[in-house]
Amino acid sequence: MRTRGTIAVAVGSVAALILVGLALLAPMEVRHSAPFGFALTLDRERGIAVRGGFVTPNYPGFNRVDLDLRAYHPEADYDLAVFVRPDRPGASDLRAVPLSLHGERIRHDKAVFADPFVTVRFPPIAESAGSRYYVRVEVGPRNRDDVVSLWSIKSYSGARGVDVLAAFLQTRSGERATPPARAVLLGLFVLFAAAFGWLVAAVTGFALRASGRRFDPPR
Amino acid sequence: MPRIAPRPVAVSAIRRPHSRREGTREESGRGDRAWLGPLLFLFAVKGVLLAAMVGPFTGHDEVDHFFYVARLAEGNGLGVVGEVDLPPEAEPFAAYVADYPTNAEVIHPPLYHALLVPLYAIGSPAGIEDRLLLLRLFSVAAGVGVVWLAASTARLLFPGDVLFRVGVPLFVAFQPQLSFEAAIVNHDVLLILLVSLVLHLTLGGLRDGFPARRQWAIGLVGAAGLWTKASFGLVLPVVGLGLLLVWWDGGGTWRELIRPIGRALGLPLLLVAPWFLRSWLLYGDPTGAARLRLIPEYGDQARSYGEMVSSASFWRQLLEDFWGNFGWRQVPFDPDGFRAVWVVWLVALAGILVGAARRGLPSNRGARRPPQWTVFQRRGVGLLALSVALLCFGVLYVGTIQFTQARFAFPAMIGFATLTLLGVAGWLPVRARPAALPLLVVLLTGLNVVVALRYLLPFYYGPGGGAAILP
Repeated sequence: MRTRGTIAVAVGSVAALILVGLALLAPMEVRHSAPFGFALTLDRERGIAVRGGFVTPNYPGFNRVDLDLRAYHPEADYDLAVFVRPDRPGASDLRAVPLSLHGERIRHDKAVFADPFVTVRFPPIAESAGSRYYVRVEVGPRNRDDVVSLWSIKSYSGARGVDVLAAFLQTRSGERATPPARAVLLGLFVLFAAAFGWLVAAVTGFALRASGRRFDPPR
Repeated sequence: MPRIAPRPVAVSAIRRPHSRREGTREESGRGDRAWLGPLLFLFAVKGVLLAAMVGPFTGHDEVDHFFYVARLAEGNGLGVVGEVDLPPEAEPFAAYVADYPTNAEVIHPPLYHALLVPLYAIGSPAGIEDRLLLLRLFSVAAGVGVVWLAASTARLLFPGDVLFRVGVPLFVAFQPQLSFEAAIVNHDVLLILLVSLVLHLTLGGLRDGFPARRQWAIGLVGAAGLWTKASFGLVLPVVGLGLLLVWWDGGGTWRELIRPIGRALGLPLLLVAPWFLRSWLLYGDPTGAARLRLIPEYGDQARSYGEMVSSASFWRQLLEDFWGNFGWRQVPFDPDGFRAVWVVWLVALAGILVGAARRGLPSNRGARRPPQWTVFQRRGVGLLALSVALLCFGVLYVGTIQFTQARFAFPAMIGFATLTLLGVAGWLPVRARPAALPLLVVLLTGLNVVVALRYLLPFYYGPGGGAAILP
């Protein structure tokens, strides 16, 4: 019985440590703040579609855009280039990414359950937090006469969970101007991790009992 | 005292699958405390964190509900839709109001809002956002109640199957949108709690009979539900069917059915009648649906049942809303996140057919055959499935009036969870089920953590400023 309990506690502790480690330190791509997740560039009411739009990363390390591209020849191959530059007069492009896509992938009438976005990754732009960038798509010579438009843009930064949580703690406690708020929130995160470990341990112990496994040495 | 109860013969037909007398420690439910305590605690901590994370007043209809509470707390009465405007403090959050500056939520019965008046009064010396946070904590507490009822209902139905006993409350506790409901100010969370409670009472009656006390209890919970939101009425047929089944087994006369029906179903309708009458006089129908149809941009989205059911984009939107659209759909999952969840969910649900096949295959006899359900279990799962079907119908019904959302089906979340676990059970041999439980905890917690870190927190907070649509 004691062995079973030990196993459960060990599993719970390891699970909690892994959760905390992955959540805080594993690199991930966080989506920037935008209504419905994207910056809309299509003006549906006026029927205006363009090839560029603005995004505002709220994290440093801007390294990805997801583009909802639309084209009208599903059988064609498209040579495209994606450019990213700061939104200020005279600014030059910071990133340029070539993109080859089959027309089926960016057809204008995408299937209802299809992912409408094409992901484009580029080397991170370090000081991107709070700056506005213009993202545009240009077509290559062989598609010069084809219509390609950009309906919406999602943007992302490479970050770690610890950066995301730190931003939350700073903003939240800053808003309230009460240092204890940060301590309370931090305490809640610690409690969450501890409760997760406790739950995993309890469920593991329960599962071991339910499966009737015996780990005690024979007497 | 009249009582609907199975006759002795019928009792054997609705016998307990694993009676408490025969039960082991786990089967008796006492063993569940070991994991249920941590689960409830984890849910509560997660709820408080969510309440703090989610931007102020960005929950669906949160502005309207908050100022409905404020209105009652300040003694301004119930109000009439179209005549009640939101106060100037709501102006910064106008983007989150369906019919600004009108408070459309005063069309709903006031029980939830009245219950929050004392909390609002306690928090009144504080700022508006602190008061909001305080009211959100009520939703967290209600959510804890829903998870507890999920565990209790699963134990009632499947006392001998650990997968259901643990899996159903886990599903409910970690379903991202239910957790969101349980972290914002909205009467839906109380509705979910009361529907879960009435379903639990009904299933208990299905197993043990419906003594008068249970009938009264169902009636009073039903009245509370109808005074929370008229859509509670959708679950009343489940109660009625439960009563009928037990009455049928008992071989009673029609006369013996009248009082139980009156207590369990007539009482709530009688008690809520003043509110329905008021709505009828003010808006022309008992629920005020006709008035809701007039909300610009929302009423315009009304469609016929046929148009909704035959529209693939409608179903995609419902699926997205069910799992991943936070706060007025402002914070969705990414498409790959949606698809991952849907694939897992659909595979799990497909297990219902697999389980049925495994039971029915002639080659699958003896020890390999999954345990057979008792009549009570079949009926209980049937009633939960009926609750899912009725609440889904409610989603479609709202769609004929105005813009609709999957969250209107959330009061049947225990039914959704049970059906999902039924599917999971279809794939898993009985002996493997305990081993799946810790994995389930890890996967569901992981989903919640990833969603918070990748989407929810970055939407509201960031070094460069978040909450793009907040002032």
